[in-house]
Amino acid sequence: MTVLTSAMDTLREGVATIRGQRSGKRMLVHEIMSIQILSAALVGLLAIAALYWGGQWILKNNYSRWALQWTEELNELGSPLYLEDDQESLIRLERFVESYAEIDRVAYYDRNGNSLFAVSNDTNDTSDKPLAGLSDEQLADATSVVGQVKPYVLEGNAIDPRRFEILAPVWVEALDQDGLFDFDPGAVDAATSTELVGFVAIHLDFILFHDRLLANIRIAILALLVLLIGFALYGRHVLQRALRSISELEQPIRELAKGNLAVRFEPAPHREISDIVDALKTTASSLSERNAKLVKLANHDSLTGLYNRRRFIEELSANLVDIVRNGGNSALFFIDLDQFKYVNDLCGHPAGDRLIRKVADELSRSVPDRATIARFGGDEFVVLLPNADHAKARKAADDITRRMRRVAHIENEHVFHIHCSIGVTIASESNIHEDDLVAQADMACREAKAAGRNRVRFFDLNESGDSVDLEVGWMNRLRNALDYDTLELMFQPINDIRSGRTTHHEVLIRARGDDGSLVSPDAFLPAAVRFGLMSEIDLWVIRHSAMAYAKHRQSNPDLRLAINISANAFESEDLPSYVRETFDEFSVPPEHIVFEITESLAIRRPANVERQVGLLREMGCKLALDDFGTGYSSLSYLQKLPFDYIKIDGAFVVDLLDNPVDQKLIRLIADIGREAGMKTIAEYVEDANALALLEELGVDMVQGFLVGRPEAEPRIAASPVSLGSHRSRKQSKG
Amino acid sequence: MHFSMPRPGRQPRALALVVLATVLGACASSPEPTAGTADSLPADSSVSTTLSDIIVVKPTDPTPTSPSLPQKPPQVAVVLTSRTPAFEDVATALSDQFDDLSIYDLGDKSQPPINAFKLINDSPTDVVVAIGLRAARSSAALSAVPVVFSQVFNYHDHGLLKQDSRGVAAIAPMQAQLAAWKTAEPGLTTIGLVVGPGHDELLEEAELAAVQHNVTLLTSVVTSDQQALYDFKRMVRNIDGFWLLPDNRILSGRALNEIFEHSKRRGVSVLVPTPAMLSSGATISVSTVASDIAERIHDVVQSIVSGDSSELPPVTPLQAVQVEVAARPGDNASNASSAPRASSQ
Repeated sequence: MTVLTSAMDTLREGVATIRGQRSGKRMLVHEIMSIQILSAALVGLLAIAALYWGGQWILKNNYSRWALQWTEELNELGSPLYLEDDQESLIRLERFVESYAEIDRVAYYDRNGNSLFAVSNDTNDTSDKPLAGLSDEQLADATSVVGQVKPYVLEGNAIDPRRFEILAPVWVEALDQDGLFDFDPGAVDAATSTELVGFVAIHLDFILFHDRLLANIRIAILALLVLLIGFALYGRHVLQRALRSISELEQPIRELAKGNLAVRFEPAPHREISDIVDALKTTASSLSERNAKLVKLANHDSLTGLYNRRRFIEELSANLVDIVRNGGNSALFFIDLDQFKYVNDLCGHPAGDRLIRKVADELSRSVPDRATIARFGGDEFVVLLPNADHAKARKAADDITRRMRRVAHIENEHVFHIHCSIGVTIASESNIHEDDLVAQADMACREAKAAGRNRVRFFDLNESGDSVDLEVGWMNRLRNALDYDTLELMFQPINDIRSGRTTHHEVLIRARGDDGSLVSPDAFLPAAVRFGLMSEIDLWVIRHSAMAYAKHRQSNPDLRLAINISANAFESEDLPSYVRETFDEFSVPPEHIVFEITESLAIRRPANVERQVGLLREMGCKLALDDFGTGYSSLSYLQKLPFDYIKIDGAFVVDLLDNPVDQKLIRLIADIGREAGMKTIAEYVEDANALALLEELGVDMVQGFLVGRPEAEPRIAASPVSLGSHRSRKQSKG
Repeated sequence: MHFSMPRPGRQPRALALVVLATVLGACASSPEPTAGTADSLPADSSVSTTLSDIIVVKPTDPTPTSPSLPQKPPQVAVVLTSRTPAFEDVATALSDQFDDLSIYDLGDKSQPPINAFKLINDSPTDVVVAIGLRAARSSAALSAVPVVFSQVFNYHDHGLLKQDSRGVAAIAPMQAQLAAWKTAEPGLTTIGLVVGPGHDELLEEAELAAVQHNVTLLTSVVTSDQQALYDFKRMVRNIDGFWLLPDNRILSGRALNEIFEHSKRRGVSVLVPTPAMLSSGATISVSTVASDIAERIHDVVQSIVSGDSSELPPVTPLQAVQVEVAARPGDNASNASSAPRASSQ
């Protein structure tokens, strides 16, 4: 249940966080779109830049190539004009120039750089002024490239590649005189003479072409931008559609966080989202299963499967509300098995568990279907029978006892006939407090037991009203004391019998009565057990003992405390964890703490108790077997149990001096304890003679008024030592 | 520099495998040419393996030599521009024609040319035979005896034709060239020809030959390789054959390359004066034959020695041609050897 609650809380926190942060968070669609658009814009810009610069480069390259081609053609076209007045060639030259709008002007020069004539495409160029000749520098430059691979000089503007001028030499070549009579294809160039005859200058203007191309590039860029915008819009649409399945998960997840495990997740069209949906379905299913399991664990007794105390109280409360609303009566049965302890001690707790299960089954069959049955703990059961008056309750109780009498339980060739005592109380509009009702039935049950067991006793409000009031009163006081932290601890020293020095203190709980006086636990612990407060009291004692240790260890570094814990403390599985955390919080060394558990609990050794005791020992804590001798366990068990101390029950000490049986028994316990490596502690030691005798019997430690009374603080109390021990110390000193 | 050729006797030389036919007037009366076989190809004539046929035509009726009385053999000095094969082959052929022959090589850099002519002038040399332009120019300037020049194409430019000097043509007769070409390329209809100035007679001869072979001839006289290229590119669209003459003044490496390249692109056949050009892209070469040149020189020398030089033309035409046709893609040796591709008139 706790795990489920934790998981739900986490889910709720997540949803709350999402809700809280939603307004300040970016939307995934927008973020992906931003990345997409930025990437596309970047690619687009790069493409545009590449288009522009690539276009420029291609242009320039083409200009150069065309220029070279035209230069060669004009060179060839013009060469006849150097040598003769060839009008046909001139016309051909003019046609050539006219056919290329990019050729602005072509001018020819003789070998000395003097202008010969020019052909222009520029209609505005109508001046008849003679062309200027070539400068010496131009002549030298152009002459130097005769016969080269690139036989021209390019004069252009690096910033504006659209206009440039080419100056190329015009030369003729001739083979040597006898070259053709001894023609060698491989050496023909070597047998060639060269003669420079003139120059041709070509002024090229690619502005028109350039502008036309740039206009095309602009159109391409515009088209690219339109594509980019279209791509962005389409991408947004596609993304929104793709992410819709994620958005649609929000509501089911929110429902899941609220605890609605039956929430329905719609199947997603995409594999990734579908995986998430499947995982959420699995989560919801697992949570549902775990929830059911935890609910069952929280409401049912693990041994019998019946309702536990908590759930029964809920059912009882609901029934009482119904009585208040609709009137009527219900009967509450408190059932305690007779001689169950005998079976348990004789055959072991597994046998006891089997018996409990059998009784639970029989009980379930004994009552009407509408009845609610619960196990309160140990061998105690309760039954709520709605709509039952006194007569119906009597009949039902008799049925139960009758059927139970027929139960025969066989264990190890022993046949046990289990009877039960039943206390019954009737809930009515005038008796509708569940705590009171439980207490009433419990008291009636105890009365039935006291009256000889195996019988039914109805609670009589007139006869037992005060007792009930007292118990219920204690329940309320204890509840308040726990809530307001008003319980108190007392510390009673336990001394070494030989040295008389205090070895440790037993922590004893006290509560304040109505008159403000301190009340011993005998008065209120039964009520605490009955009303389910015992485990809480145990934890309170552990925590406050640790606090007391932290408080007093400065003045007493050797302080050691013995803490009593009941069987109820082990009902929760996390007792060792609680002890560890508490001790860590207050820096309590575990080896300075002794946990005292009763003999009856130790002997039964339920699995959960044994495991937790083991963990406490692993932690370093010591263990004491309390009230030893009052149970029915065999002495041989002592050797098997992992205890450090055996506390001999006070009943054996009170009449020790006059009862040789008690003396022999104590000696036996001390001997066995010594053999098993355990120290024995005798309680209720009130006079020196008993002390001396206990030492003689081999007891190691003593506790009682002779040693020290319980006090608010753990004081060091020296106890008298016997003469024998004193002598021993002197001898050892000597 | 001066050496005497060993006399190999009077046996015909290097022509054993060629077929003789009539040239000039005899060509028409003896129209059966005989094609040479593959075996007849000289070892070094298979220019880049494209050579397919060689045809040598020779008059069946030897040109009548001048009527003569018994006289002493002329003493001849042969001056070579250099010892290139084209000149040396002629000198070798001359050694078959004259008993008393001295040869001088101006290409020998160890001695100045004037030394050779001192020796010639001091000797009882009757005639100087100059082979190549340089030898002809030097001989014209330095020789004290009549000069007969050969292997000179542009002889007009250098004043070689003096009163007692004569020449032998540097190229095969135009008619014979066209005849061979027409045989190899029967579909030839229009021919272009570009030549430098000073060759009016040659152009007339070419035009006459064209008329006889029913071929249209487009001619152009240019003064440079640029101009030659220019005219060639204009005429190349309209011709299916280009007649390349060995005029060094208007030809250059770049011009030849472009002529061959354009011709190849347009499928124009190119006739060249030397087989060496076949590997550069020409389709047919019609060249001279060294023995024919030597015989024509011999005749001229005899006329000069006998005092009949006034009857001689300034330049005596040749009578034999050697034809080589570049193989077309797909041709092989057997085809080349079995298919005669030229005929004489």
